[in-house]
Amino acid sequence: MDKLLIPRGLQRTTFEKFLLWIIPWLALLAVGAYAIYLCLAEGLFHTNMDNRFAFGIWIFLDLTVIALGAGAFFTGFLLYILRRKELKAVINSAVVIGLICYSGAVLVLMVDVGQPLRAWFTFWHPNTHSMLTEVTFCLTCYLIVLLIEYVPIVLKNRQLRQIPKFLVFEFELHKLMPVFAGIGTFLSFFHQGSLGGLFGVLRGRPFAFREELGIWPSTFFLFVISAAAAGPSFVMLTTTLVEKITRKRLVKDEVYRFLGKVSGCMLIIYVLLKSIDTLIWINSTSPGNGFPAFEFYATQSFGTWILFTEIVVLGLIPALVLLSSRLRQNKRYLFGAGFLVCSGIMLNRFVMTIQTLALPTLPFDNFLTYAPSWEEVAAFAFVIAYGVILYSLTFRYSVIFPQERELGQTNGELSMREFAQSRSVFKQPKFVTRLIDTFSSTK
Amino acid sequence: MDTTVEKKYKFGMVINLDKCNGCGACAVACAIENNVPPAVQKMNKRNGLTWLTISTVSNNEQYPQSETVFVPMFCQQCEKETPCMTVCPQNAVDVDPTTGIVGQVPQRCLGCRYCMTACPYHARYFNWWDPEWTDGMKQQLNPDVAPRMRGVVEKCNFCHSRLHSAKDKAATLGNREINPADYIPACVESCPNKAITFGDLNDTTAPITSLASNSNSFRFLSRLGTEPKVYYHSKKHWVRAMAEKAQTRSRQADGIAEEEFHG
Amino acid sequence: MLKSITRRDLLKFTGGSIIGLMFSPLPWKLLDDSAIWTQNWSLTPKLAHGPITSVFTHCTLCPAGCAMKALCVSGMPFSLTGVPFHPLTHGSLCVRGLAGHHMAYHPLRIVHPHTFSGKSEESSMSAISLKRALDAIAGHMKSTTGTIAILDRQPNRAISELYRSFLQQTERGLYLTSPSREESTLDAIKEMVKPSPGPLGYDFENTSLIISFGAPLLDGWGTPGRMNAIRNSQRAKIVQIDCRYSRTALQSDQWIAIAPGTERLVALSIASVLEEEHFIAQRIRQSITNIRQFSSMIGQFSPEKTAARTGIQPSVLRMLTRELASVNSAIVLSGADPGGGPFDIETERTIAAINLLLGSVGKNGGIVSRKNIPGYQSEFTPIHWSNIPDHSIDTLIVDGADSGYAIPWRLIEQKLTNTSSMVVSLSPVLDQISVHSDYLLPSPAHLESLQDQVANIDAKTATFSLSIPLLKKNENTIDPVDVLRELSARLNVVLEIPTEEELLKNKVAQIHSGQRGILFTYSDGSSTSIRELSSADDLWTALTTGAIWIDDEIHQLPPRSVTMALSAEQPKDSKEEPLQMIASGWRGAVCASQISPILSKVFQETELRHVNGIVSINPETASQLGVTNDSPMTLSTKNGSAAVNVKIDTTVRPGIVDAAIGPNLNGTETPAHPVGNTLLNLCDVTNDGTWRITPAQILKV
Repeated sequence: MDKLLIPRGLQRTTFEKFLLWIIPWLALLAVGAYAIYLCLAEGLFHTNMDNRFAFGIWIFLDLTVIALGAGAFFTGFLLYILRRKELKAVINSAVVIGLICYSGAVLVLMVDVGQPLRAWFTFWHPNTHSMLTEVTFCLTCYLIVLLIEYVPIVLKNRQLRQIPKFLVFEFELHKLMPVFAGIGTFLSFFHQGSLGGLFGVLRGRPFAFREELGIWPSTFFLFVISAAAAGPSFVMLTTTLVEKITRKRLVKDEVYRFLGKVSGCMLIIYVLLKSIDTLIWINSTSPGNGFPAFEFYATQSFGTWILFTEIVVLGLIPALVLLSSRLRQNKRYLFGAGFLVCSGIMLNRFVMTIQTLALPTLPFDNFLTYAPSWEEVAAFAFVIAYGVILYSLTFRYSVIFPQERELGQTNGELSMREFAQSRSVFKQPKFVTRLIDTFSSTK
Repeated sequence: MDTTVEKKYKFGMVINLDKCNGCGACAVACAIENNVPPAVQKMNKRNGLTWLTISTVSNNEQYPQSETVFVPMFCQQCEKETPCMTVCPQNAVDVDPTTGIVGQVPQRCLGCRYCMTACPYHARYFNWWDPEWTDGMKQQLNPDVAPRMRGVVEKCNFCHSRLHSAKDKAATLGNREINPADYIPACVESCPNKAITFGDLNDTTAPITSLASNSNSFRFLSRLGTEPKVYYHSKKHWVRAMAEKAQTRSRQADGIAEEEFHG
Repeated sequence: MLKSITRRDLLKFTGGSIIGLMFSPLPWKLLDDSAIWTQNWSLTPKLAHGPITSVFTHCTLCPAGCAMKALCVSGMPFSLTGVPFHPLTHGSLCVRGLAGHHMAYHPLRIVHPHTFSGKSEESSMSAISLKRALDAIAGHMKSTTGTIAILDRQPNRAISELYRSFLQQTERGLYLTSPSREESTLDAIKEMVKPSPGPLGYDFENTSLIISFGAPLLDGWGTPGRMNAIRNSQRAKIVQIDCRYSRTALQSDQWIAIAPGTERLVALSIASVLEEEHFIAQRIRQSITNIRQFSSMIGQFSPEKTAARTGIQPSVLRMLTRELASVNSAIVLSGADPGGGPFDIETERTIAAINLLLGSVGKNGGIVSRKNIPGYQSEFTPIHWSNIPDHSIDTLIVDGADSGYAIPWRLIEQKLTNTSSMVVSLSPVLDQISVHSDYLLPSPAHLESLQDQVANIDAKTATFSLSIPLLKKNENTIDPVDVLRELSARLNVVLEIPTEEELLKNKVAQIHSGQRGILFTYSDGSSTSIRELSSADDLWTALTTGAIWIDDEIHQLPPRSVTMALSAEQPKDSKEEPLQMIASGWRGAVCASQISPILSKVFQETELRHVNGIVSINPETASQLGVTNDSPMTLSTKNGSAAVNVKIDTTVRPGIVDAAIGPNLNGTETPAHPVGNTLLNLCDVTNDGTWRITPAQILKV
């Protein structure tokens, strides 16, 4: 039905099948929208946040998706500034993912604050000492940059390309891409860092507080580097996920391996710096504030295993795997390590937000727990649903993966069975293969 | 031309924990003075609005040696690198240099709650609900203090409206400076045991100054270096030990011998 | 012309307008306005404007009747504070009093007569006209033959006298006060001395040692401001003997922890040491009629013999007794707990008797005599609830004034006839008693009507003040005097019942003609002798604009003869209960309708005090039961069970469950909506009228 909108030479499922895919996500979107409505119209008491847990999963997940969405800027940086042409294959996908991540984060942020109508106050009465001012400015600017970078992808649509003005516009814009990539990198460096700085400057929270390098706490730099490590891994994982869902090959293997290598390099640097930072914190910063570091890990649920997991299990190990070119050849190790990297960054953000707030500061405080309410989960589900819908639409009606056409021609579209067998990372049980046979339709 | 410099006050408090009996008069007087609404059904210790909260702290001994102290906690009016002020993205926290009072501007507050994360004393409170009073109680609100709607942060400001009234009164009488007896925060006024002493820490003759520098007086989390202007006082060793677990950062700076914690 | 407008033109126009608009104030004003919109939401209360005035009046929430200064805006009070330098309150106003101006607008406030129909799940509350209600009540009184009782929880007011006269006229009347009396020690002393002294009080200011058995002396007892001043002056040593680490125990100079229910034994032990170590003066021995009986029996209660039951080390008790005997003056008293209720009569008498042994009665620095207020009758003898025959009361009228002490409904129910009883409440709010009533004829709320404040139970001398209304009374509320007049008319009871104002003006006139005492004026802190006031009107004017009449102190005389009523009964060897629930509450805050909603700052928002449903146990008890802190469990007694939240507290004695009798956050219970049993209803009401200790179990939900 929408054949005319689908880019020439690319295979997409029928419109009916596409709707079947979209509808559950729309349902999730509706549920999320209702939760958001409740929070905005009635008050934030619908969440389980309270005066001690002023930040909850929204902030934690915001930080996570922004770190994971860093693939957008870092890929752009590598492609346009460092001229690594391999990444042309995934740059569009990274931009869309980045747009989803950032716009989703901003949306959730608007629900999280008590007075969203006053969001513009930060621009009108900015506080130059506050990290959050910096975050607000940079995020807003970067979102605009992402939107600008998204425009050419939209303009690649078959029908829109036919309008000469758009074609010209897209072409000119494309020539400016390095400029935008540069701006994007610059802005991202600052806001990724400032998000880390948000917690590093908290003198009142010795668990999070770090020494300064220049005017920024060390967490500023650690967040930038960890985001740069997570970004490529996330791009890698999302691309393979899209390949699985659409049952197509979209990028060449060498792109994956390159992304893995980049991720590994950034990660090893991060692990090194993080270890040094942690040692300084344990031996100097924290005791200097009167809080011996071991006190923070005295509670059962948040013992030293968290630190070990974050730095070694989800940091050092995947870094070493990704740095080994032999191991990178194996898809299982490559994607496995990528997953560990993203988990590690997620854990790091969790530690900086949730664990920081759970820990006592006053001598008679208790260690507190927090679990999100359904409204909080639903609001975030809204973002995921929105992201899937936006990505699906963009994928269907535009060219996100330039290598798709090429790979589609050489391999043809595989049957579901062949596809499942060739792409599976893990050995498939026989009954699964039989199930796929029974339900797959030939196209 | 009159070029006299405006007097700089440094308002602070000393709370005598030995006198505090945990009656809660201060907390209630504060809520009445500042139009803080009563709790709604789901409010509890963690999401209520208590500009002045009182914690019950135990010495953790066995019965019957177990003892309790009540610790009123509210904005400590940090003087150095005030944590909440430095982090507010839109300058909704205003530190008045002439009084040292850390003021909150609810009309500008975005409700991002970053200041609440920054405050180590948990002295800031967020309006998770819209305020609710019965119709009659709405007519009994203090006309000098604006009520806040949901979505903004609020906290103790040393009854700023009373400072304004004292200034107005001084102006009417033609005085440049306020009469200290005219500016008394609600909590100080209501305490039946007079456990709270309020005054100008810059005034060497005021009772608060000698009380604050008394050897049995201390501040919570003084090692964080925020220089709070609210002091606590107790003759009981276990109370002081509970509050000061290690060396104080500011004392270190002054070169005064540190008090070690044994226990 | 229109034909020549192209798409380009439109685009140019749009683009140009947008840019041009940026230079106009419109978008910026809209942006700015949006900020103002966010400050003025639809629920914004409009703050009052108008002149700010200050008015003096007195609190009526408890018999202390503390003086207060109200700041009003356009006549509406918004802030209450104590009166500085007040000779009785010393400038204090308790937590409840501070928020007293809210009581008229309490969510549980009732402003129209109501009837409750049905005593089961179908019970409902419906408005009824005053006339119909009074007719029904009078009709019931006429058609039944059982006792007509009036429960008056502030029993020394002018209206109290009218109640007593009314009941006398009915010839089957019974005048009741709260089973929990702060003056229980004084009551017991009056029973034991001759000549019968008039009103008694405590001379705390001049005493050296105060020993309190469980009375919340420093937590709302008596006149709180006075007790705080006593504590702060540190002239008297205060010793609290209590099984709980109550607020009073926390603030006293010494807390002696005892096993629950052993107060009588401890008192007997003190008496035995006094006897053994010859601390009882000869002249006192001579005045005690049953001294020999006492001598012979007291030996079996020595500290060593009672230590096992009481849990007190004998040396501690001996030292305390020696201290008691060595000081110039001492006071030993007991008192009910606001939530846990009174001690039994035997315990009260035993504790009171120590004062007699020490010669503290009729002595400065001890228990002192005072005169009645001129014009007020001499005191009545309160009936002990254990002496009221079960199921004998046909009509019970409950006056709306509150003492701040809880009364479990089970205790009242026991005394009502099973089928034909009627309960009438005059309370302005729905409280734990009025929700069980048949008719609710609401009185004006606190600060809505003129009230008299007479000397509190602890006062050294008679005092008198007036509570001036600050708020406009609702026209559907009824003054208790008017209820009494209406009922008298219907019952043909011959009684002169003036209006409240006439009644009080009369009292003031009589005070003036008494020609003694001083008037302390609040506006300037001056004291004037009554003789200097030329007329009763002057006195009335002074009292209605902020003043208090304080009687002169009288010369104290020890009692001529004393007959101690000590029970030598050895305590029963009770079965060792694994857990004992000890009920306790905070004076004046035992149910939600007694306190302003703003007191949530002290209850659920800080957990400084516990709401109904929070119980505390010792860590040892907790580990035995396998319970962790803050866990929801079920508390069960033979009267039912309730969902509770269990907290672990090292100040709680092992083996007891400290149960808070506090405001029920789930609303007030009615027969139709019993929102989970309140802990007060779980208490076991014993034959001697106590409910403090109840065997209990803590079970998993």
